[in-house]
Amino acid sequence: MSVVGRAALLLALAAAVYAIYAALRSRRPEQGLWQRSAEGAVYGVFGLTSAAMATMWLALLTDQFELRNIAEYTSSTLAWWFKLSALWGSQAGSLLLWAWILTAFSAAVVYLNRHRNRELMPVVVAVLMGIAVFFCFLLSFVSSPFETLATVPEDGRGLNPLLQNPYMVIHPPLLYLGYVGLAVPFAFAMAALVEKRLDTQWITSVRTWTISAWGFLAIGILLGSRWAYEELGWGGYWAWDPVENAAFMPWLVATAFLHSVMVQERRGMLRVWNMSLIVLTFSLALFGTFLTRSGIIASVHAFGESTLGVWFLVFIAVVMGGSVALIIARLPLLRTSHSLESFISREAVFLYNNLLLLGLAFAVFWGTIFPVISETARGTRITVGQGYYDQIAVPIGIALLILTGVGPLIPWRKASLDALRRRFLMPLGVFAAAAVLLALFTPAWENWAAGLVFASAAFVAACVLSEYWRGMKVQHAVGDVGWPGALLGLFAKNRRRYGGYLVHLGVVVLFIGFAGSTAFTTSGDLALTPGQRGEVAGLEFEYDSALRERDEHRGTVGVNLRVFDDGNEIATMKPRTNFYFVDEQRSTEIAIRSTPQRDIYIVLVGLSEGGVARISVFVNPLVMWIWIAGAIIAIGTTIAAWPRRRKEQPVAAARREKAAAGS
Amino acid sequence: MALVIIVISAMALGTIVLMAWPLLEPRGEAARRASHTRKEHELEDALNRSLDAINEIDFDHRAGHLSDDDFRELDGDERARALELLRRKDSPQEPS
Repeated sequence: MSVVGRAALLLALAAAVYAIYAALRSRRPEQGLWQRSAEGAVYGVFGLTSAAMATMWLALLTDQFELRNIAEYTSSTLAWWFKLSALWGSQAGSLLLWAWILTAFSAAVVYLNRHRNRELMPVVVAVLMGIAVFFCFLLSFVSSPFETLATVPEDGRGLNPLLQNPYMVIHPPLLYLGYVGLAVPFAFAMAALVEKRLDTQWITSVRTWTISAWGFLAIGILLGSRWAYEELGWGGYWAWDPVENAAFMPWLVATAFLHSVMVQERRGMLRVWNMSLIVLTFSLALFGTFLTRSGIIASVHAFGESTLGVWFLVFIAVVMGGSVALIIARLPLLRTSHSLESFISREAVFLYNNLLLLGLAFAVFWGTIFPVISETARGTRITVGQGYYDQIAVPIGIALLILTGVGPLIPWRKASLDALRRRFLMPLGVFAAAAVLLALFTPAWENWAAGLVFASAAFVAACVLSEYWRGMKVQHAVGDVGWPGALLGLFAKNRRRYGGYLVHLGVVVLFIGFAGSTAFTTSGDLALTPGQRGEVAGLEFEYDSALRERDEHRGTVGVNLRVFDDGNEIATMKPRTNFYFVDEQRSTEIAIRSTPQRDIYIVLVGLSEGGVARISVFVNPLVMWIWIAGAIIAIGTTIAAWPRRRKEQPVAAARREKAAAGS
Repeated sequence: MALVIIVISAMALGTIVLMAWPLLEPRGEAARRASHTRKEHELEDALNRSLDAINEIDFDHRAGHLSDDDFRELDGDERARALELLRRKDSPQEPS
């Protein structure tokens, strides 16, 4: 089985090298057939990596413990869905997933552009296959998922208990869809530079890819947060862990890119900036993969020391060096005669948004690599704490939140004072009303940042909803339709804009969740004997009974806790600890009672033979809104990314009819 | 072992066929027609982008996001581009 997998990857490597040769050769005059040959090779590479994936999955399902990857990350008692997802639990397996998604996307790009973007496609194919060559080379010669063991064990070591979670099935592939999806706009950008086709064609051609990749990253990051929240047991969902940061940085820069391309589309400005952003975004996606694969940072997700780091660094250097050289070579063509006419205009707001996003991305980058730099320079690893990130992320986050509302309301080019007054009067009124109501009826202003976030959230929601209303009025008048039809018409007419506004509303809800859960969390530790009660955050917890279970795979101990609020029983919660027999590891199963108002989050720290249960209790307000925001963002992104179905142009249809009549 | 050799050979052969097939096709009329169809598609794409832009500019103007002066300038430029594309699309083209 390992021979088939290895052969498939070697053949994929050879076919990808051929695809680059054929694609570049097709750029010569009268050599168009080579382009189709290169594209045939892309389909071939996808077929071969699919064969490697299928071989690996078959080996995982049938417990082929002669493969190191399977012996070290699975066991015969593991559920079949965890066996399948164990593929990306290992370093080599996750690289295989990267390569497979990349080649699948490359094949899709070739198919969808078989009649379009023909001048760009040779370079697009060469760039995508260049990336595929790198990954197939690593998989064939540096870190093979099909490596065999000299001695075959009777059973595998099992999968880390933290990874035996439904989020393991979906979170890593979503992140990879995001990382790899960013390769497509990068490839088109390089093609536009090489072919000197620097208008907006390449941007509109990859719009769906860029928005989808951004959405996959966003949802992948949120699902990872939820996974951490439910599994790690420290009461939170985001710890500025280097691997969390690895996904967050390209997402931030991709967000900047998604906004700044609109300025290029409308005003022809920021061409160099946009090219630089997409290069940076893709480089950060590679850097994120490097962070987790190189072993240079300590993280709950990162793989141990490995030999991949140097390869990734060299590849990132090649990508960045080549791209920057190309941008510099095309600078005369990228320059535009347009300039910013006013600091109060839509394009200026997009620029502010970009600078803030890049500033935050740089701060996160610095905080992530600082331990490595300090160790290299002074021999001591200095870890950057949560305080550093909060100090930077909170003010930048609030400013970005406010711009989320301001941007859509400001006209292009320049805004008159009268127009600003008309647009912002209502949202500012909502802001003031929200600030006063929060002060009168809630403790929100006990934390200034949280109070400002809540009031700003009301302001932004008012801005976005007023923008929907303004659009509906136009649609209602022009389209002669009712109000529901006008709303639907908005989404049909301009999916990117109105889907994007839905994402903005999701961001509002997200910030409400962040502010509530970070500023107003209460926690406490209790040690209880059966029948005894303890209090945390005004809630009472009664230790009702103990729980002990076991099956062939694991043993479980836990406690049943009755929870009382104002003397009324509101829930019975069951925090547990699992012990896995094969790998002799344990995992904490946290009990969470989630409502829109707050989460009650209980961790079983220990259960002594004497019957004393030690528990940690966290009461986290508004956490549920973070996950609701994720759903809103997913819906908004889907609408924004959904391609438009084109009606045939009347002229083309008439010509075809004429041609048909004449034949 | 025989099965492994058959599977690997099939994978290699399939990939070679995918790569070689386009090179073995006759160059001539079919290739020229394909090139013509592609040009039509690209013109249609460019026209669609231009028509979308006209609609968006009009919508932004009605919604108050563009002043009258800006609207006239942007709309005029985009309509000129769309007309040029329509003219090219409607003019008889020999497959080249």
